[in-house]
Amino acid sequence: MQKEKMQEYTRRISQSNRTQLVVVMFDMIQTYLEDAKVCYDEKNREGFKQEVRRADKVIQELQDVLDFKYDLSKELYVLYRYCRERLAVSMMRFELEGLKEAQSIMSRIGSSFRLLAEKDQSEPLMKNTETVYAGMTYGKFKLVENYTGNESNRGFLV
Amino acid sequence: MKINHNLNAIVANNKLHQNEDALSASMERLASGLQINHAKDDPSGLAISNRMTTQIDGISQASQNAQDATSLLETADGALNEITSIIQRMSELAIQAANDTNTPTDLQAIQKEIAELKKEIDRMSQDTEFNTKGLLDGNLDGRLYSSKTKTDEYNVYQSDMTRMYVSDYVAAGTYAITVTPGTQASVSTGAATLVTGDSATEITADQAGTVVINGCAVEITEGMTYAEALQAIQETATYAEADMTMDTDTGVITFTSPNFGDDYEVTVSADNANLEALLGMSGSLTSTGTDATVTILNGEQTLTDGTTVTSAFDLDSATYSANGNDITIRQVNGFEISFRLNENLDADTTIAMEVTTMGQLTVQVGANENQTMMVRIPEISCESLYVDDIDVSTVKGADRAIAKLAAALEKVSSVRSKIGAYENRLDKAYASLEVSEENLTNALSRIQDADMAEEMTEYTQYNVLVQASTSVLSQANDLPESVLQLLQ
Repeated sequence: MQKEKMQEYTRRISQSNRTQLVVVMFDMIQTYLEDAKVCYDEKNREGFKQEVRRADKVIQELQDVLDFKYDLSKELYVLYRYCRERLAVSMMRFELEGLKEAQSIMSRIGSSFRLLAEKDQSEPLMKNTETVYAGMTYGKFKLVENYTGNESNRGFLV
Repeated sequence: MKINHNLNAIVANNKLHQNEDALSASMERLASGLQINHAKDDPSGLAISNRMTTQIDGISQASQNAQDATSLLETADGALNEITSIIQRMSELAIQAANDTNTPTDLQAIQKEIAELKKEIDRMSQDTEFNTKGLLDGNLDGRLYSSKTKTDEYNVYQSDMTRMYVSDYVAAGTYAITVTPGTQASVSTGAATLVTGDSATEITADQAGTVVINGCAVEITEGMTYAEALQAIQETATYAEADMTMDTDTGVITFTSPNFGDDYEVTVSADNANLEALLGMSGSLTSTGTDATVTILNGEQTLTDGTTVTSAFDLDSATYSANGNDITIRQVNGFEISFRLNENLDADTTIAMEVTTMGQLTVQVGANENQTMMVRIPEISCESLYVDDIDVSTVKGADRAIAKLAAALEKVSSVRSKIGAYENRLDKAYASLEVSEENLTNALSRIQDADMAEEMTEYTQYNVLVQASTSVLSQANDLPESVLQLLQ
């Protein structure tokens, strides 16, 4: 993942409530699979495998946190496992068919969770993080993000 | 002046900006001071996420295990299916090459395609994985260890055996044998003027004639230079499976078969006494390779490298066969060990193989202690299938290739049928687990194909929206750090 993307995700994670965190994970899968496609176009086999593995790990995390008390978990579980199989086949054959299928399935489920996230107004999970204010200061088309919180050390060596 | 300072938050914020994995996962959780949001209060301060609650029901985890193992086996089987197609294609090419109407150029073209197919097999062997576990590279096989001996040529310890394979009926233990490696067929001429003389010297009329190597003729004509003559002989020699090397100091020419064993011979003759003299020969030269010889041992043995072992062979039923240095030892009841011997060993060296079950995949298919299933998938690669040295561009290469490819196909098929048997056992285990769990519906059954996946996805998309808060509860992750770790 590019550094800027990682920073963006870090920021999102620090601000996420539980539903938004799920959406972040689905978005990460999309990012990794897009990176894998780029590696495929560049004929970079090792890079392709690495990106597919990373996407697989995120799906595994989604799998691991499912709570089977609820029936929906089972539906999600079988889909995740199917996607992981398709990714494994894609890696083994070095082709995009399995990858695109997995990508499409995960994207559709992700979009459902995204709609849910819009309605979830609960607090972020991580405490004591900074607050991010974003505004169009110092220029019409320039989005400036301002972090409040105790970022600066004010001269103390901490 | 009061200094308002939130040390924990500064550390936390710095961590967010650094974005590095410098600290290990556990240290990150402890040192960062991030507070974790709990569904319930946890006085110990350790995070208990939802994932723990799903594991409480041992049976549903066992169901998942059985299904995950099935996915792993399906992936392996898919790859083996592809490898089977590749081997079949290689067989077609070998049969085409065995046709006598091919010119050496045709054969080289066919060999090029075979070389590409070999690379593809090895790539799949390395790239087939599930959940980061390699499946076909020997990772899921029991570990086998070979003794090592110092050989003069390299003066370092080399493995005595490579390409080791044991069948399922070989018990863990040590197996010792005394071996004498097989040899290649090899003949050498005396000092050959053709080598030591000036390379621009031309062949005279009374020196012209035919050199025959393993039945393949090369014309040495008047007017050819020594250099051209040597090149022509070398080309034919390579084709004829009698690789030629020269010692430019002594003028000795040596013809050696590319492989070991009594299937290989070298015969060199010339039809003109003057030509023979040029080559340093006086009459035809012939040699046949030899196969390795093996004495199977039992009980306390001392290996040539000094270690003592207890060999577990059953002398009453153990027999061996050797094809060059490729050795197979069999006993009753499906016991089979095969390997390739290090050709550099001295005669009568005592060596051993240690067979362990470490590394095999253990699948927990029940909620209790001994409800496990051991799965092993041997290495499938060009080396382990003994097709790595297939060369259809030599005179007998195509015939040899056909035989080797048939054996390789058999081995791959037997691994696939084993995988099928494992999957049947897992299906049964899963079915019995399902019966014992009252609340589980068929929802954990495996999606077989894209159409079923499509249906399932649509259904689930809709359900996620409709069940809203339950959806969140079933999927939500309370540990943002575990998600942070996934950023790479």
